[in-house]
Amino acid sequence: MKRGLLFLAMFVCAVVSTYAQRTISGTITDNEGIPLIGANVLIKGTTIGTISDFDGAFSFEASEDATTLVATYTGYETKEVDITGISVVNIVMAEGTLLDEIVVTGYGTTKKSDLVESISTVKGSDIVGIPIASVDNLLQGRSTGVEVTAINGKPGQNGYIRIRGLTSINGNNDPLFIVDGVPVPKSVYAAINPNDVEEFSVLKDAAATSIYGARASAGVVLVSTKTGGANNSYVEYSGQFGTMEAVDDGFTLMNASQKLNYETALGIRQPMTAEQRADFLEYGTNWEDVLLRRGQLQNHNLAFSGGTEKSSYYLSVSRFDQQGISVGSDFDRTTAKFNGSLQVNDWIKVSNSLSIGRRNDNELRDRYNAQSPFVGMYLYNDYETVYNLDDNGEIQYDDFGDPIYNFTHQGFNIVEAQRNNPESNEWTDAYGNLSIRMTPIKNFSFTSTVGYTYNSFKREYFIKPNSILDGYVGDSNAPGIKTDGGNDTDRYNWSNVATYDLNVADKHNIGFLAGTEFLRDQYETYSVSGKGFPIGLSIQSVAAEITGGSTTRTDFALFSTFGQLSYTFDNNLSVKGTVRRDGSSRFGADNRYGVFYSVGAGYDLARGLMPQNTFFDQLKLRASYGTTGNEPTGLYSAIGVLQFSSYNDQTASFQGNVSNPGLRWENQQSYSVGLDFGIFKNKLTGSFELYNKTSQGLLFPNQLSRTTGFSDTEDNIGDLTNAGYEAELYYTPIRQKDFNLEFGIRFSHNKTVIDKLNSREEIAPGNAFSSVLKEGEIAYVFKLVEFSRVDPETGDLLYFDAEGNETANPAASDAKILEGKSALPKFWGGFDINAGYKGLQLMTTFSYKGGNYIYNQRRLDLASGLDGARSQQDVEALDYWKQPGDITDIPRPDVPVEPSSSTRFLEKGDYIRLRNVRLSYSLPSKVANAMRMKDVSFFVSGSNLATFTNFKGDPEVGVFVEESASDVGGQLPGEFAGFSYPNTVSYTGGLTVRF
Amino acid sequence: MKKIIIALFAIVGMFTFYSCDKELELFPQDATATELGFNNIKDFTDAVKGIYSGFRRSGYYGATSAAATIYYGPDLMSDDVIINSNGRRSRESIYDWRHDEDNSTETFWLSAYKVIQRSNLILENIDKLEDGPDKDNVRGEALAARGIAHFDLAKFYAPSPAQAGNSELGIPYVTSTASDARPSRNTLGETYSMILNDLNTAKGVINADNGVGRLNKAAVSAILSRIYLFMGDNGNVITAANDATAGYSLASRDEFDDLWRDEIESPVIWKIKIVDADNINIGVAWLQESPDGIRSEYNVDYSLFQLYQDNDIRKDVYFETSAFAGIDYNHIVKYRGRATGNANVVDAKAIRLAEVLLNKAEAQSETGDDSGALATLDILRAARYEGFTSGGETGDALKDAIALERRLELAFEGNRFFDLKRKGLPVTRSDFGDQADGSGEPAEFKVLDAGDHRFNMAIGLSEINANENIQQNAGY
Repeated sequence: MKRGLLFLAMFVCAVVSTYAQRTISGTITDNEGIPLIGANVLIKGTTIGTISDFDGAFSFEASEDATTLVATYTGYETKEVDITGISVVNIVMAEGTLLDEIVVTGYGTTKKSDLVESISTVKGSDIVGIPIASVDNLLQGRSTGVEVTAINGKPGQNGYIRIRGLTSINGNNDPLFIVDGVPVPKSVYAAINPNDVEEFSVLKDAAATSIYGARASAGVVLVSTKTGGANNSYVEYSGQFGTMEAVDDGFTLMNASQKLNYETALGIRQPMTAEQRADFLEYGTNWEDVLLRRGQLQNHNLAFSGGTEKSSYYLSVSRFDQQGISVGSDFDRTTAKFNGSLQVNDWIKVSNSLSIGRRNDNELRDRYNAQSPFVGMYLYNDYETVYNLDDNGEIQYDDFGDPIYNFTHQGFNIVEAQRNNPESNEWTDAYGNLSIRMTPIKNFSFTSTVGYTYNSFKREYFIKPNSILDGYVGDSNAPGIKTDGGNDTDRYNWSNVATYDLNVADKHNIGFLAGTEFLRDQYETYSVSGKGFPIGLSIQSVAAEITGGSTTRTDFALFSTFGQLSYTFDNNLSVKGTVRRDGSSRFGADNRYGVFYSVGAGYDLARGLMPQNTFFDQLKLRASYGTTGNEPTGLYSAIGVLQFSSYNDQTASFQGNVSNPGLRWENQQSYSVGLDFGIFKNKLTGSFELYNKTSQGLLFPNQLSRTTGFSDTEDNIGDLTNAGYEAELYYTPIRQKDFNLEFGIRFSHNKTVIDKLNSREEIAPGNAFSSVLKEGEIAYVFKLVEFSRVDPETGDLLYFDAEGNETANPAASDAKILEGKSALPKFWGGFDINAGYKGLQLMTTFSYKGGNYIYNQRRLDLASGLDGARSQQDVEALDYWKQPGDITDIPRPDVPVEPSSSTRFLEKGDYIRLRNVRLSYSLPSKVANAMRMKDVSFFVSGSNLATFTNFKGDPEVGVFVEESASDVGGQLPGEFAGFSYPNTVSYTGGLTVRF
Repeated sequence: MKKIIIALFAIVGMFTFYSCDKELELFPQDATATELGFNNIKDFTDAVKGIYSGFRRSGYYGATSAAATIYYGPDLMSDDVIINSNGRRSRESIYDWRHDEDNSTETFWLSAYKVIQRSNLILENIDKLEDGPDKDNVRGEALAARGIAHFDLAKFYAPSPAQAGNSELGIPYVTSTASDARPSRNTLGETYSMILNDLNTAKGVINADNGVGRLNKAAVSAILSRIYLFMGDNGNVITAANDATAGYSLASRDEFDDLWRDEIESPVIWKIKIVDADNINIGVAWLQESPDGIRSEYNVDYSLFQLYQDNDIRKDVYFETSAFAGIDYNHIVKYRGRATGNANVVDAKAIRLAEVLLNKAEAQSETGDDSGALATLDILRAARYEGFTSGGETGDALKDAIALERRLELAFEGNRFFDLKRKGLPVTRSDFGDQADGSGEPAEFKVLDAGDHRFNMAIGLSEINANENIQQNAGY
């Protein structure tokens, strides 16, 4: 490593060279002589060049021996002009396919028309203004093959991103996220300011991802942030205000009177006289109103962008502030970003990208008991009060003047807990890179980039002295418990990439790319806890006793070499081959390295075979095949270790795991075939794509006989296949200066099947509740006892046993595999309708998902007979079986609540949701200019405005509750509908002013 | 030219990294390679403490989680307790005898085999120590722990040898650390023969004193008296009990509360030490203290409660009658915590002198030595009842008196259920409710017939799934 750093130092020091220069200038216009603003002009094979200004004019310094100028402009055909001996060129560009944008790919860029890979792009401008803090959630419904489900509705919360299905069982299912060349951990997603994003590139097939080798089997998301430039200079302020509330939960809880009747009827409360009843019902609480509130958010963003011919800068600061919908749930984020570049001389360019940020939130317990407000609002009865009241209904106070909280039937008061058990989180993030690019000889470039990510997390949890929880778990001699914990992620990566482009006979373009990358990650945690905190202080130094403390440190490293060869012929045939070799510290010495490769090809039939046709603007066939890999989630699974703990405050040691030195890479082989087309002058464009991906050697804990003293060891347990197709269609019937209309629809279908399990027929994976893995079945297929009906004669719940006979007492062995039913969706997507008239724009986005099943645990809990009768219940529960002959869905109340293992509450999860509606208005440029502004626009926007579903409750289910998942990423999303932070409906408005 | 040279350097530099293998050899920072952990007596002593930390695991002596544990799980299945209708209703399925392979005692099974694995790892490495008393003592502790863990498994999952033949199913007796093993169950005869072999060998080599919280010669003898009693081998109970008492003494009435607050050690022959920092509050299994009063999970059954006389110090120390949410209950407060420190944190008393005396008294009476049995019993009764005078019982009356005292003394220490099991008696719960005066909600399920298959726990699904050679108990 040291040697490498020395080299880097050398490159920097060596930047002293100068060369003979000349000025190239000119204008760029279209066929009708209208200036093209912002077109790219470059000396071919270099990055030297500029962008045309408002008059279509450009001017820049180039070396004396430069021969060819390349002009590119979105929607126009790329033009090459010979400039040997010429310094002034006027370029006329012909309108071409609209698709000829530049797409960011792994370690480079490609013209969209040359793409052989399957890559979806999402423009940053499409997601701005949606009131969601974490960028991963903003990708929902935006591109085919990409399924995003929010973990829950908590402000700043991450989402689950699944690209073309579930590629792994235990290993990582989240795509590799790379921001400006820096691979960032999931904890950083919410630190990214969406306003800074120029574009997301979602790499979907092996041709696109195999250059990221071992980390790419779940796909790759490349995030490119904005850069400035001489002709991209502005100062922009944008601001946004909004409010939000929980989406409709679909349940109607009993009111106080109904609940009282219900309890009396079930015999858990003595009948009351009318007078007693009136007294009892005199005071009560709507717990949802007490625990939830109308959320608020504001978001401010200030950006400066600009540059000279040789330099560029983009600087932004932002502040996002959200009060969540639950009392005590707040999130804020402050970020700053600087992207800059400098063309030092004609062959060296340096650039950097730096983001810093800070986030805070107040966390609520998100768990399956009365300590969570999202459970509490369904537990406490309407007749129960928040405080103890005297006979006049006045709140009673204790000796300190604090109100006395009602313990309720739960023995716990969530309102008190929200006040007296505060929990806060703080993150500090810094990530970015420094890069140097050298083009010492024609068509050759060498880029060395050092990336760095630092993420610090701090959590404080204070159980205040004499709070109810302190009474339960604390020490009465040292009241108050405080826990401080946190972690630091420290990660750097260094990549070196060399490219060489060769053009033969004007028609053959050959590109070579070779590179290396090293990544090292270190993760440290700490925690300190103490008890006995006086007068409201909560710093550990005042604790009466420090009761616990620990630190941990883990690290991993990855070293890779990779190469790529690409070939294009006559702008209609493209071929690309990639190979990557990764070495990972997570494997034993014998299996440390894995080699991954891909080949892809694309051929535009419209240009190649039918150059004269006027119907097809594009008809391009793409195909790719390749491999990627996946690492184990455990860092040291290959080696056996002796761990240390304590017994009676003395050192104790024991074997910590069962080593598996033969652990191998999870290897994915995939192919993908696609067709892109454009007709009617590209008014109708679309693409269709088929894929099949097989993951072999799935990394998963293999069960051991517990008599060994261990439950499992990390192993390669089997294979699975994802097969599916995606289609997207965009239609722009009207594309005029003052009026435009666009329709888009995206559809994705995927099926994940377990092909093979190596050591047993069926696995009940620890990361799911009631779903299993079984050979030949779809992944995570539900395994439940089939529910029949409520017996009209007895009121019993009747199930089908293994032989198909009705029984009131099913055994665990009566559970059946429910073929085809799983929490994994079979299809999903989105559609949008956009319309514009003059400055007015209406954008409407729907998202949908279906074919999945959800176990509705909330519904079970809210109609659970005697077991749940002391807590709040849904009005549905009133409909219980009362006498022989009753036909109902709700059993006799004393029937024991079913273990969560029957199909009674398994529901279809299909839904369509009006994800976002946005109406914006831009002032006419004359008016704006008169105000000395380039652009002024206003918008109003609403999210999650309507949902169409047959599911009882919100069908967009992430986790059951957040704390039940030891690792949030490991839980099967959407399997169980429970009691996590609700999703929200939001309304926002804002403005953007650009100077 | 210069820039071309620089570029060449760059490319050469880039590929110099190609062999970067060292950077990829990373080891955990909180652990060491297993084979490096056994060099000297300090390493071995650390590993021995690792065994005890295994006894402290969830499901064994240190559980607050939902899984049934050997320490109080059996009590929940006995007739000594009743579920509190206002509690959290945790572990209700065990209480209702609705346990099966799905909903069972898997954490205990795993924890016990962890103790066994840790013992075996020491025994496999023991010859790295020089011969001598240190090696003998380490070997003794490891063998004893291995035997004890197997016994605790056997009494939970297999029938009592006092009630079943040697050819019945025992449990897999594991003596190696092979991680690919998928053993079948040994016979009951083999299981107990190996248990006794390990413990008797241990008894011969272990130190007389290893400090609080570790096994020693007396502790091994005490456990042997328990095992022999469970097997119905009364002669050996007496021998073992006689070897277990040296250096220990019963708590007086004045000290009796101190015993449960860990302020005196002499009445406890072997305990699992639990300190605040372990974050294991074993008393939470029974109750939590809230500002609104004690909230119990389980209360003492009212018929048992009535058996405690007013002059019995245990009535004051084991129970507190107080209100939760306005209703009086008889709370079980044996494990509510030390005088200072976190609530519900106390040491787990694995075996006490009182039990050894009761084991001995029962064996004496069963072998016809009534006078000896009465004398042994009266040592205990004198320490519990104010103004005690011997009842002078003989014959069946003496046997009843011993059984009564055993139930009263060892209540909520995981004994009652196994006493019924070894004697082939049913569990018969009273009709009383959960409240302090016996009113309130009675138990839903009242009788577990003698010989019911549920006296033997179901082997968990995780073991069945991972080990095709294991045979499930009948009835599940």
